[in-house]
Amino acid sequence: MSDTVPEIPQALDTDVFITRAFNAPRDVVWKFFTEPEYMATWFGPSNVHVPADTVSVQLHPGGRWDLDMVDNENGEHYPIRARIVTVIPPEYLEGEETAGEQMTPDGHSPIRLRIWLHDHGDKTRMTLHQGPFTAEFRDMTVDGWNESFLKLDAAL
Amino acid sequence: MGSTEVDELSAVFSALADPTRRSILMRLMEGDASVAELAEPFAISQPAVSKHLKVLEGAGLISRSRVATSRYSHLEARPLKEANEWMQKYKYFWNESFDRLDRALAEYMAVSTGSTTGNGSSAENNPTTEQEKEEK
Repeated sequence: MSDTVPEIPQALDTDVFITRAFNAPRDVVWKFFTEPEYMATWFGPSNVHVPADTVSVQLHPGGRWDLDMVDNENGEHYPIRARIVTVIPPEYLEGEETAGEQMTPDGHSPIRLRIWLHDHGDKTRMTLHQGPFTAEFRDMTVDGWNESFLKLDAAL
Repeated sequence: MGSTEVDELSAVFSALADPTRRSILMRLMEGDASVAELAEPFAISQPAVSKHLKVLEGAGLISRSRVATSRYSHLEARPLKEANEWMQKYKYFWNESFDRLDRALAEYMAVSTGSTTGNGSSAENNPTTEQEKEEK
């Protein structure tokens, strides 16, 4: 736990790395990541929705960052349960997904989620890191994988 | 996803972590092969290749059969496919979420600035990719 925003690691350090610019100032984007009523408006893929009353955020180290995604088709709940590790508004948010059902290949390590927000003109640049899923994963190059999976697609 | 599946994936991912084993799988995509044939392109011994094959077999990535004195390895595609789908899941998850966030932010900005024209509505109708945004 620290008060300084950590450097963004190399993309190969973890296996899920996404960077994207949002067309809104940083304090607004921050709100959408940390305030229940705004989180409920976007979180999850298009086949789910998030009821605002399932969102619970305690914006301090050790606090909760929880919500339920609800399947639009069958109403099934897919809970996201995370514990906040570091919070530096409106710049950096780090949490650990702690639910036992999370799909970590090794079955027990929490998945670490880190989100950086930077000013990017009048937009906001977001960088997301999620992982590590396994230590071995970090040794593999993205190119190696893409190439492998192209071949794999052809073979299947 | 149950814990058995997670354990299987774990074995698949650690088997795939080794570049020699990935090369062996690539070779097997072209067809079944004996240990000697698999060892050929590598500067390693047949026993070393056999060790890799054991790991791959343990992860369900290959099956092996004996023909006369040779053991032939056969690629089992299912676990590879599942591992790939699993990895892609998170990317899809976030990218779909962020497309929705784009629209939610556009609505928010339109309301807070009292304007419904300009960047807000264009982002809503046509979420731009990161590259396009970078070029702006």
